Amino acid sequence: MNLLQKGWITIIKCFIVPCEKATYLETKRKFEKLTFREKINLNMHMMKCSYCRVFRTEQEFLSKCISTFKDNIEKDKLVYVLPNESISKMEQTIAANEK
Amino acid sequence: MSDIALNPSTWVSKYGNYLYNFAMARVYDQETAQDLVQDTFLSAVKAKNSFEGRSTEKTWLTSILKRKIIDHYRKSVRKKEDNILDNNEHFQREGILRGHWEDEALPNAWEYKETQVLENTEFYKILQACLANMPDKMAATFSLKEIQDYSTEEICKELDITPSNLWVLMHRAKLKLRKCIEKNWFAPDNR
Repeated sequence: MNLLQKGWITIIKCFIVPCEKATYLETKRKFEKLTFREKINLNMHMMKCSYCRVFRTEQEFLSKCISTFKDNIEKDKLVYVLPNESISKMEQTIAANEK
Repeated sequence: MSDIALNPSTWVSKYGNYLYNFAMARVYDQETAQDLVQDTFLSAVKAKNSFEGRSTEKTWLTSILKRKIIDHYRKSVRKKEDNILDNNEHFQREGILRGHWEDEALPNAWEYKETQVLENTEFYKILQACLANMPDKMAATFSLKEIQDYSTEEICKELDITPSNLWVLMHRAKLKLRKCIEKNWFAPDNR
C-alpha cells in the first residue's frame, strides 16, 4: 500500500461512523447545530444504512405523538382522571389554608 | 387592581384534571403527579395574595406546577447516581462491527396508521409507562428537553450534568423508548 492509498483511507475513515454515533448525532441534531464534520458523518451514514433511517422515522413519529399528547391536554382532551380520594384530599388542603 | 378574582374553592373541579394530565405528561407516574398537583394547590392558596391578575387562574396555577415539576426532577436525580452511561444493550460492544446495531435491537419499520395511533389513548398510556421505566436521570433529561423544551444550559444547571452527558442521556433515552414501544405496542412477534 503506498502513501497515497493510506492517505485516502485515513480521510475516508474520518467520515465513516457506526450506527451508535449516527443515532447519537441524529438525536443531537434536533436541538443543536451540528459541526460540518458531524453533518457529513450523519448524512453519509444515513445514505447507506436503512436501519438508522428507520430509527429517524420512528423518532420523528414519537416526537409527533408527544406533541399531540400535549396539545390534546391543552384542548382538554384528557387521558387521566384524578381518583376521588385524591380530589377530596386536595379540596381539604385548599379549604384548610384558605382564609 | 385585577379584574380576575381567585376562587380557590372551585380549583379542584375546574383545573384538577387538567393539571393532573399536565403533570402526567411530564413526570409519567400517577402518584408523583397527584402529589405535585396537591402541592401546587397548597402553594397557590398560600400565595394567593401575590396573584396579580396578569394571567388567568389556569395559567397561574400551571406556572406553579411547572416549577414544582422541575424541583421534583432536581430532587429525584440528586437522590442517587445511576450508572447508566456505561450500559448499552443496543449496539455491539466489540469486534469489527463495534458500534453497529445488535441483532435484536435492529429497528423494524413499524406498521401503523398515524391517525389511529395519535387518537388512541391506550397508546399514550403505553408511552407513559415506557418513560416511567427509565432510570431517573434519563427520564428527567428526556422530560425537560423533549417534552418541556427547556434549554440545554437550564437543564445542565438544574440536573447538574454536562452538555455532553445530556446528549448521551437523550440518545440512550430515545433508544430505550423506541425499543419499549416496539415491544409493547407494535409487538412484531405477535403480528
